[in-house]
Amino acid sequence: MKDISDLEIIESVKNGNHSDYSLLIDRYKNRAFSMLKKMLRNEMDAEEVLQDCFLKAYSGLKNFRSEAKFSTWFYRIVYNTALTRISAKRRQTENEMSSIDDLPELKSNDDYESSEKKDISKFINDTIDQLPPKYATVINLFYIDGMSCEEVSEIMNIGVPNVKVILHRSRNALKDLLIARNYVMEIL
Amino acid sequence: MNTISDEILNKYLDGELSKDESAEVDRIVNGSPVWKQRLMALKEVDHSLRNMPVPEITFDITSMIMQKILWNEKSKRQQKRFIIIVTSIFIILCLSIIGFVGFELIRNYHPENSKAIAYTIKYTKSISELLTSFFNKTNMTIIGAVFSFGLLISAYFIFDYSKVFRKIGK
Repeated sequence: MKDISDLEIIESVKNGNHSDYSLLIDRYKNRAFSMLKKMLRNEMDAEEVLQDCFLKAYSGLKNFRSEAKFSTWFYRIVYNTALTRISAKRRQTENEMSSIDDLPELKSNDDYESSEKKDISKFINDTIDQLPPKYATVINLFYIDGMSCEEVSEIMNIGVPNVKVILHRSRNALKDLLIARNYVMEIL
Repeated sequence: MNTISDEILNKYLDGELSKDESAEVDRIVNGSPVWKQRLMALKEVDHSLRNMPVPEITFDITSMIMQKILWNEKSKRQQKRFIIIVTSIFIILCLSIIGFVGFELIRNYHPENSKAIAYTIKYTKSISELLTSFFNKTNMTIIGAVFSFGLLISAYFIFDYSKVFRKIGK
């Protein structure tokens, strides 16, 4: 089943094999869920929005142009639906996300004691949950989905330089935290 | 390049620097423990992010979504069928009325009375008589009762459908 391309599945669904859509759901559910979880910071909301996204994508499949990449098209739906949910929940989030200049200072979790210090990956995973939704989306799409900056920019409707700025700032913030917590001294 | 910055380190990490620029970064980093530490930390961040675990959904979301999709498809088909039935009934009614009027016109047609106005008055009169007899007091009661019954049935189905949709939406 892994050999079937997204476009082949879409063609099959368009030809009336509705059940084939489950292949696309299985293919994207976890990665989309990861992105939504980071953006919405709430598992229940993420699950609910994920269902909405798949239903939206299904009803929009007839308008899907096969020259586009399904993943880009689908993640754009996911990103926009998540933004709508965030706006509905917190109107002030609009300001929070409108600028790439205001990355809040990340705080390290003080619960990490010396016994856990070596678990840098866990520390980073937990810390990136503090990133604003826009930053979390870039990190997720770039690292988990392995997308290029161009694809990320297309999904988020922002320029490629902005994607790079967000990516660099996120990495720098995490890097500064690692240095502040003396994690790197252990590596050296 | 005599100076270095976090921005350059990021570009170095992403392979966006030229060969010469990369060599220069290597030189500066090797000569400075501070920059070496920063680059190591950045590499560690990049490595950890690349190996970030993908959280898995704990319940069978695929079945849930597919169920909703199949339900939507089914209700769409039902709506389509309902519209077709209502339209067909309406068309049949219209055709019956037109047929009946035509039949009456042909039945009452007498070639000796060739004056068009006389025919029109006559047929209009017969149609109005027909309508008056159809919508008389007794028939109106029956029509009203049938119409009310139809409304009640429709209201029940609308309520039932909305209940099911609400249940599925949760």
